Amino acid sequence: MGPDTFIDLIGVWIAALLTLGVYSSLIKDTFISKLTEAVFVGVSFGMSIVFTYYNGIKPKIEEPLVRYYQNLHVDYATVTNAVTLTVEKIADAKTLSAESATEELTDEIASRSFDTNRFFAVLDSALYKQTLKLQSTNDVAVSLQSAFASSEVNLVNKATVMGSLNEYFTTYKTVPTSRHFWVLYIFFSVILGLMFITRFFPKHAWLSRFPMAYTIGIGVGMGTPLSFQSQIMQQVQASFIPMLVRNPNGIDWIATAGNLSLVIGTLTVLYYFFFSFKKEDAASRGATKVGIAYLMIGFGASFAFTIMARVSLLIGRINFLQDEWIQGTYEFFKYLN
Amino acid sequence: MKLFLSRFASFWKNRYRAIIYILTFAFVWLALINKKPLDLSVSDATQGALDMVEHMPENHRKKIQEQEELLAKLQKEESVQSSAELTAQIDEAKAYLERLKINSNGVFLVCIDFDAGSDAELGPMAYASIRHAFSLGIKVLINNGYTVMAQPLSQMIVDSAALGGATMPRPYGFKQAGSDFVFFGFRPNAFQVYLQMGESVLSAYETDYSGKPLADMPIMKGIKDIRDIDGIAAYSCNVGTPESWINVANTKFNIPLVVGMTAVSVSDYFPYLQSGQLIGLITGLRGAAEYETAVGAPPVANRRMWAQLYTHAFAIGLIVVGNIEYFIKGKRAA
Repeated sequence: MGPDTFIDLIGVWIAALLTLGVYSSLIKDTFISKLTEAVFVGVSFGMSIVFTYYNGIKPKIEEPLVRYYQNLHVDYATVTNAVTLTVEKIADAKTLSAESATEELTDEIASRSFDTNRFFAVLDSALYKQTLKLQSTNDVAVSLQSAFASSEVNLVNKATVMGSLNEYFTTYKTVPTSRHFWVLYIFFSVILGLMFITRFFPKHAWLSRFPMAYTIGIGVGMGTPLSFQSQIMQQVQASFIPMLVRNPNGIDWIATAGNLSLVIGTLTVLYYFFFSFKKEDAASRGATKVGIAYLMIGFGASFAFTIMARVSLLIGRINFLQDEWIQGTYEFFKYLN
Repeated sequence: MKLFLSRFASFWKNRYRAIIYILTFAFVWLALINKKPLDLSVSDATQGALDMVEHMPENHRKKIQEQEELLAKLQKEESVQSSAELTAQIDEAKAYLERLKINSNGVFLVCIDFDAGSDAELGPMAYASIRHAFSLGIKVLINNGYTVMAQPLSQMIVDSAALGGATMPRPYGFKQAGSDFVFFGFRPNAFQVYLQMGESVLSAYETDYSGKPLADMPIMKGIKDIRDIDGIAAYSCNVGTPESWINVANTKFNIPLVVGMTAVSVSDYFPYLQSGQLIGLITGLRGAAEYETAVGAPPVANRRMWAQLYTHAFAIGLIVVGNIEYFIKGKRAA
C-alpha cells in the first residue's frame, strides 16, 4: 500500500501534509488550513474541467465536427475502389483456402450461408471508421481487413459477396444527408450551451433562460414518468402489506409487529404533515404525537449514521497517515538501504 | 480537593475541544494498530448484494436456457406459419442468445460515483464487489455517474482489483482490460447516459476512459444494450443520484440493482430495499466490512471497524458525561 517509486513518495508526503494542514483548522484557522482548502478547491475544479473536456466536449463535439470536415474533402471514387479491391482480395483468399482445404472442410464451409446483414454491419463499421481518418486509401484497406479479420462473416461465396457489394455501393451515400443535420444539431447544442455564459453580462442575461428551460424541460420530461412510477407507485404499493402475517406454525408475531409499525408510522407521519385543518381533538393530537415520535426516531437514526460516516472519514485519513505515510516512508527507505 | 476540582473545571472549560480531538485521534490510531479482523455477522441488506453477485453465473445460464427455449418455440411457430415479423423476432432472439453466450458467466456493471472524500467508506465496498465478480469469472463493466472526480479514483480501484499487488493477493490471475473488464470513465449528464445505455451501450460510450474504441474489445461483442447486463451495483456518495439507476435499471429495464451508500445518506434508501426495488443495500463502512469479510477480501474496511467501535464507545461515553453534567447543572439552577 505504500509508495513504490520516489514520485509516489513525494505524492504521499504532499497528501499527508495537506491532510495535516486541513486538520490544523481544528486548532484555529491558519494560513496553512486556508491554503489547503484553496488547493483542494482549485485542484478539484481544474481536474473537473479537464475531465469534462476529454469525456464530453472532445468525443461529442470536437471529434464529430473534425470527422465531418474531413468527410467533405474525400475522393469517394477512390474509397469505393479501395473497398471493392480489398473485399475482392479477402473473398479470393477465402475461396482459395476453401478450395485448397480437404473435401470435408470444404463441405463444412460451403454449408454455411452468407450472412448479408453481418457483412454490411462489418462494412459499415469499417467504412465509418476509415472515412473519418481518410488519410489515404491504404488506411481504408487496412481498416477493412482488420474489421473482416475480427468478424465472423463468411466470404467463401465470392460472387454473392461482390454482387451484394455492388448493390451496397449503389445506395451508399458518401456523406449521408443525416450527417449534415447532425452537424447542425451539434452547432445548436453548442450555441445553447454558450448561452449559459450570458449570465455574466446583465444586458444579455435573459438569453440564459433558453438553455435553462431546455435543460429543465428535458429533465422533467424524461424523469417524471419514471420517478412517478418508482418513487410513488411502487412505494405506495410496497406499503400495502398484510397486517397479520402467518407462517406454518401460526402467527408470525415479529413480522406482524413490524408490518403494523410500518402502517401506523406511514399514516401518522402523513397525518402530521396534513395542515388543511386544525388538529384540536384528542385523536388528532394523539396521532400527531405518534407521527412526531416516528420522525424523531428517523432523525435519530440519520444522525447516528451521520456520526458513523464522519468518523469513517477520519478513520480513512488516519489509516492513510499510518499505513502509507509513516509506515510506507519507513519501508521505502528500508528497501533502498 | 475543592481547589483541584475548580482548577480542573477551568482547565477543561478552556481546552475541552482540544482534549476531545486528541482523544478521538488517539482512539482511532490505537484501534488501527490492531490488525486482527473483527468478527462480523452479515446483515440481510448486505447479504442481498452478495447474493446478486454470487448467483450471477447461475442466473446467466438460466437466461441462456430461457432464450434457447424461446428461440426453439419461435422456430417451431415459423415452421408452421412464416411471417416477416416472426423472422425478425427469430433474428433478434438469435443475436441476443449469441451475445449471452459470449460472456457466459454474466456481466456485472459497477457504477463508481464517489470521489476521494468518501473513499474511506465506499472504496472498500467497490473493491470487494469487483474482486468478488472477478473471482467468479464474471465480466465487469465500470462507469462513473455524476461525480467527475470519480474517474481517477475508479481507475485506481479497478487497477488494484485487476492487477493487485503484493499486499492485495488475488484468488484469480491477472484480469485483462477489454477482455475481462472495461472501464468506461465519466460522461456528463449521467441520467441521459443511463437511458442511452438502454438503447445501445456503444452509443453511450464509444471509447473506454483512455480513448480506446469499445467496438474492438472482445468483452463488448457480448454487450449491445443494458439488457445484456445481469446486475448493477451503484456506489454513490450523493443523495439522489442512485435514484437515476432505480428509475432506469430497475423500473424501466427490470435489472437487479444494489446500492452502496455512505452511512450519512443510507437511511434514505431503506424504503427502496423494503419495496424490493433494491435487492441489496450496503451501508457505509460497516456494510463494506461485512461484504469483504463474507467474500474473503483483504480486510481494509474490517480493520477500520475496530476504530469505529472505539470511537463509538468514546462518543457514547461523552454523551453520558454530557447528560450527567446537564442534570447536575439543572439541579443547581433549580
